[in-house]
Amino acid sequence: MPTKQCTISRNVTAASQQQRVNLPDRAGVGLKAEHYADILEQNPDIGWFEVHPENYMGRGGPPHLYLTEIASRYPLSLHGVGLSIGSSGPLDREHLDRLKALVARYRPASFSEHLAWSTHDEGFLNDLLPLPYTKETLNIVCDHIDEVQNHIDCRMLLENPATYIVFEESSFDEIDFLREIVKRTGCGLLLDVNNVYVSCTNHKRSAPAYIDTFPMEFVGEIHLAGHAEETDDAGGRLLIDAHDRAVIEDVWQLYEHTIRLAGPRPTLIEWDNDIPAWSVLMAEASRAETVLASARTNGSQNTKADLNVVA
Amino acid sequence: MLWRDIQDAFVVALRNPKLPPPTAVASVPAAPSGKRFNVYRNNVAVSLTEALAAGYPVVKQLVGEEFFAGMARVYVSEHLPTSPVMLQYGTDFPEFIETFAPAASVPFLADVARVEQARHAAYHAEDRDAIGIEHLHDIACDELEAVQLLLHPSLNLLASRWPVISIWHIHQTQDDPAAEMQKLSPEAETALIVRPRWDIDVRLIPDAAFRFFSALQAGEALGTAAESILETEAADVGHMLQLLFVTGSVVGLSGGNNEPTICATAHNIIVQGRDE
Repeated sequence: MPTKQCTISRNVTAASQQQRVNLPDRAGVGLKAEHYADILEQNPDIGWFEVHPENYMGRGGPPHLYLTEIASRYPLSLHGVGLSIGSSGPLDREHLDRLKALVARYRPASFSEHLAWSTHDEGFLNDLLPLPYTKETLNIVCDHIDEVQNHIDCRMLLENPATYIVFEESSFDEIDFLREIVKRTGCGLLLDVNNVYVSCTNHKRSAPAYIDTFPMEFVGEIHLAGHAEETDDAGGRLLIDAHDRAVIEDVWQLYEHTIRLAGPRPTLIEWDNDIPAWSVLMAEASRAETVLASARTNGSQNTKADLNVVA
Repeated sequence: MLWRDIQDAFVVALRNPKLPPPTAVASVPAAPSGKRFNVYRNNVAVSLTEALAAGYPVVKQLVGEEFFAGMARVYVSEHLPTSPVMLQYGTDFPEFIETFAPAASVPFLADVARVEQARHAAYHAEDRDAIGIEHLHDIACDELEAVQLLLHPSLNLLASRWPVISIWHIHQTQDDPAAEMQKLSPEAETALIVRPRWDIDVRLIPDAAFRFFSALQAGEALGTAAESILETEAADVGHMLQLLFVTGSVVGLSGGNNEPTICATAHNIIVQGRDE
């Protein structure tokens, strides 16, 4: 029986380095206040829930009362949106302390953040902004991840971003950049399949080829979400990671491809805007569960022993 | 180019839609990146505006979506969040509204925003268990004046020249709030806002209670706090105390000793205290 504690410390024994994060290889959903009552009443058969820790950084109140109850019934993942790991400036120590307090309070099975930045001198910009992939930014990101993991004493997962532009400065391919971060910091990866689809479409790359190259052995969690479609100045497809609708068919296919390669992994449905009825969200999770179940039945070439987190 | 310098240029362009995208930014294959960069501009502006609107739904209803969006745009451009904890964003929006000239024709708007801000603060305030009024029964008459009430962390007391609590209530329950607004008389209102556990209580209180509770909240002992009440209002002190306890606004007592002489009711005690 895995504990729900976020126990994967770094710099500990080789045995514990072999451990996965303790989210089950099942479908979960992003927990929304709109669904608190439905979840407590129905006790749905779902693998786990994920929240943005920033939404639970008030001192008290109903958010904590609900989350305490739901976390007593299901494994919990904390998925941060505020650390600004890709920023050139220092991490916000007060924010790290708040995060540490939440980890201590809720004992999540996993903590993850983004390969992105959101804070600069002027303040917090409330969006996940892109960074160039260079030797300089690699050092910055790795130093920040070291600081986070040491501060909260928990191995974290880093998510691949959805991007709309690239930087001329970039000297690394995104996957090489992520590989290098994992190698240096011992963190794991969160593979957002919708982000892969969005970024690859926007930058005229092959999404299946991206998945084929991705180091699945470090993936502790997968994200799925809906995206919007527009056109750029040249009339090309411009996909936007909107999290405001059901997962698009092409992304489901890419997800099935991913699971065939990786075997079953904890899979989250993210739906943050225009939030649907609980039954609609649950149906999305059920579809992911079906994909996971068939991967379990077929047996995966990747066993848990392959998923050691330190290269 | 250092990442710090690229970031500086990125933020400048992000915050000023009239500027072209920063030069370090490109798209594949090379094409003008204006629309692509605008996704980030839009994400920042819209997400901050929506965060603000979520905290002030009645303000938005009162001025309409378009006016609110314009007002929020100005606020957002001048006030970036200072922390990633977005539930703290917009706490000074009422003060901003007060100085926002186009909103001057709705003179009560800033105070309605204060009601919404107080509810928001109560919602996320520290959780504490309330105590009942019977705790006062155990205190000796001559000690009661020295007792301080420890009030709930979520308690907020509001006073406005306008009937903002009525306005707020109308917008929770009425299908046609504008019609109900016409029936309101433009009277000052005082209110107590507290969240003892799950639900936020927004209730009108008499002006005397506002003064009395404010003194208690400032840490005054019962005897001193009672001095904020006029002679003619003194008979109501017991009821005011009852109201404070019934709403779950009291979490503890300090000062005073548990002397054996027990007084019958809090009502008698306070009135006696004042008459001495």
